[in-house]
Amino acid sequence: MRTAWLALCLLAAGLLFQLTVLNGLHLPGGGVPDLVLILLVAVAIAVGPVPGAAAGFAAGLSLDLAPPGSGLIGQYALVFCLAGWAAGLLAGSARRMPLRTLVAGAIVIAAAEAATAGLSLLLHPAQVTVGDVRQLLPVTIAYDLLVLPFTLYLVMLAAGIVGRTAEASGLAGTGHSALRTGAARSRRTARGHRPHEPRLNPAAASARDGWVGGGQRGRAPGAGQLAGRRLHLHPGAGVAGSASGLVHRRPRPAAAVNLRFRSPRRHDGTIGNAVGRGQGERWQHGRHPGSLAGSSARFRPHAGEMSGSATRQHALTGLHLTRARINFSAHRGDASLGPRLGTSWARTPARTSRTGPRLRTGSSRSALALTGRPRLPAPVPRLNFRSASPRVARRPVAAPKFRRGSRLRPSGLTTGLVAGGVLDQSTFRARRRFAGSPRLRLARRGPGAGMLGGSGRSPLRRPPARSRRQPRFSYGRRSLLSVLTGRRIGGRWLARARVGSRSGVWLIGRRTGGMR
Amino acid sequence: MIGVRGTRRTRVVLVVLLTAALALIALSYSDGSNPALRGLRSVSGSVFGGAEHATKSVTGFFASSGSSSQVTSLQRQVLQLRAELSATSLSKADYAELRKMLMLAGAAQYRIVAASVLAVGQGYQQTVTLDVGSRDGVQPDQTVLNGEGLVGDVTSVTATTSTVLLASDAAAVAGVAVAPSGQLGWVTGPGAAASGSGLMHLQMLNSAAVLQPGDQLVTAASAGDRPYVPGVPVGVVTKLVVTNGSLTAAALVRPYVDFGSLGVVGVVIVPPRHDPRFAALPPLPHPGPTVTVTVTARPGTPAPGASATPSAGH
Repeated sequence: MRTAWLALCLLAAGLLFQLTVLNGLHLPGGGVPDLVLILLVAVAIAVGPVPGAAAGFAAGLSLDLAPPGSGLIGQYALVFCLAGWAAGLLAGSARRMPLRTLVAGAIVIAAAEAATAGLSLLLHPAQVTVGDVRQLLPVTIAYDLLVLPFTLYLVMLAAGIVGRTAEASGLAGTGHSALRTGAARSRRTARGHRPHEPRLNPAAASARDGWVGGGQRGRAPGAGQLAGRRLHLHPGAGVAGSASGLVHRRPRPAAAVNLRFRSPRRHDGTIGNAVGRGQGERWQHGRHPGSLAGSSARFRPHAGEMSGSATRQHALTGLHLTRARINFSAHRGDASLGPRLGTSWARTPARTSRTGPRLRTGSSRSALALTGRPRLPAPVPRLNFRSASPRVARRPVAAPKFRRGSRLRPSGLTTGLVAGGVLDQSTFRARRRFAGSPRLRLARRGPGAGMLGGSGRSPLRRPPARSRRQPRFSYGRRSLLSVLTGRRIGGRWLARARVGSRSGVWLIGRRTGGMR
Repeated sequence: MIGVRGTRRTRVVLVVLLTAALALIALSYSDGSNPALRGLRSVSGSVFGGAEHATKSVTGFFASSGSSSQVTSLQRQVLQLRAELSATSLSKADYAELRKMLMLAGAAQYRIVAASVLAVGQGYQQTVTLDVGSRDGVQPDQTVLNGEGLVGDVTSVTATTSTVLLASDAAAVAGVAVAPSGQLGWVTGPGAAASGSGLMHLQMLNSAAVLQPGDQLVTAASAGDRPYVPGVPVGVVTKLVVTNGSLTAAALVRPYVDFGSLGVVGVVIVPPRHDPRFAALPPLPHPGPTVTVTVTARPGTPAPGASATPSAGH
């Protein structure tokens, strides 16, 4: 909310300054910087696509309507709306990849200027000639790009300050340092967290981070309440237990994704231990993920821009809310992690030592394509996400398999199965599997197809058709409009395009430091 | 990279906003005098005009350095010239400009309202906003001038602001009369790209008209003195344009007014009773006895007829 006010004030001030001062200037070349557009791009990078588009529309309409504008109403609104949306898409990467964001913002600005010129060429053929555009457009873009870095820096700084104060007021007393993303998300973040959970603090405030994110050290809300210890957890540092409050002496280079595990069950509670074993002495006892385990394992992706749903902070909050869980189950050939990970099932015979555990996601279907492939040569564990199945009571464990719970099936039936451990067909299957060899299971089952090696599930737990057909990545509320336009306006195509660009395989390798 | 959350909402919002923008464009393109659009314009004009007033007063406070005694003496002059002055805070440069403008208005018997430029239009349009409105007697299609000559004409008016289409806009066309002969023609503005240094384009009406570099142009009488009152200086012919097959003469005209740095301007709210003809023209050096004397004093310079034109440094 405060960020919205900040954006409004910035854009209004920029508009007035543009009209009264800037447009009257005599600069070499004849053009003047388009301050409204630059401010809009910066604000949109700070607030995201939807508020960016709205801000662009408002700013453009104001520019159309403000007194000297005698052109057609709406032409600037059209262009600036698109520009605000496009710049808002860069919102997540501004702090991690400032240079790339800057370049992308410059591209957006150049495109918007060109669109403005083209639109006025189209709509005012008597007043604007091609010669005008050819002479003024490069100069204007050059001035814009000259002003853009400073404006972007200042706006991000202001948004960070505003966001932090809002967080501090929203999180007073809880002692938690939430993700610094601005006020718009901070409330959600605060609501999603529960006490005594280790949490991630993207280290935007450390001194050697990029110029966009450079804030003051130790200004994280809640940092003062940890007895003067500063939590500088670097996203993508890749150190196991990097969310555990460990103080790193030197910041780690930015890497892609961190995964954190917590053990769900007694005999599964091993990954956390195994992960943390490398630093056993320095491990904080009270904050160990394994010892923090509740009834469900959690898989938390965070801070990675590259990896889809794990990227954005609100995705993190979404995962909090939905209680994604990691289930462990048997996999043929996954036994390489058994001795390493397992403590209670360490005697499981290791058949091959080449592949790692797999996490699969059922909705993205990527596991289907991956199961038949030759195994990866390196001992790189795979995570495949699949729609959660209820835990089967006393299922023997052969190798860990990670599943993520899905909110898409919040049926009471499923929960009952989870809670009560109803014996169904899968239980028998599981027992039989215990006697025999572990079997491969596919994430997707057609109506008649069953699983490879026999379906372990009862049809009761089959997810509803829609969730299997279409991967969804929105964890938040669904508005009426979104329901209305679900698959009609290219929704399915968008979702497929988005999923297609992203692999379902999550590496926990040397880079992410999951296994050491 | 795309936001994971609410992609569908993004899409919906974007589609709605773009549709709204397109609808507004279509509406104002097809019917510019739509009452809804006019209401929108007037409301926003008053809001943004007030904001621009405030901004200009703030920035003008830092910029103004004129002494109050100058302002008061200026006010006296304004009263003597029967012009109404609405600007209250004037800088030194504004004072000089206003003085020149009042001289021009007095010579041509215009009744003007002094105004200053609040805001300059965005993009490729040559428009400015003045700080006078219908409250000061300004109406659409009135002539705007400054001490140098023709600035433009008023296109729309709110209570406190008015929007002026500059004569340098490519869409602005003004009927002119050539000073010595009184032959008629029209000039069009150079457009946005060459604001400040651009040359207007003059096209004569009469095929027998003869143009010379150095000819001065004033506005010719319009019907009902709108949008241009007669007698306002426009510019000087600098170069003849010879086009094969054209029946009438054409020329490039350097305007008197520097459209890039407009300070104090005046809106002619009452046109003169009689056509002032060329009374308001600046006394440019015509070939006369005095000029001849100076030329003979310097033997190295070329003939006076040729030296008059390039003296302005183009």
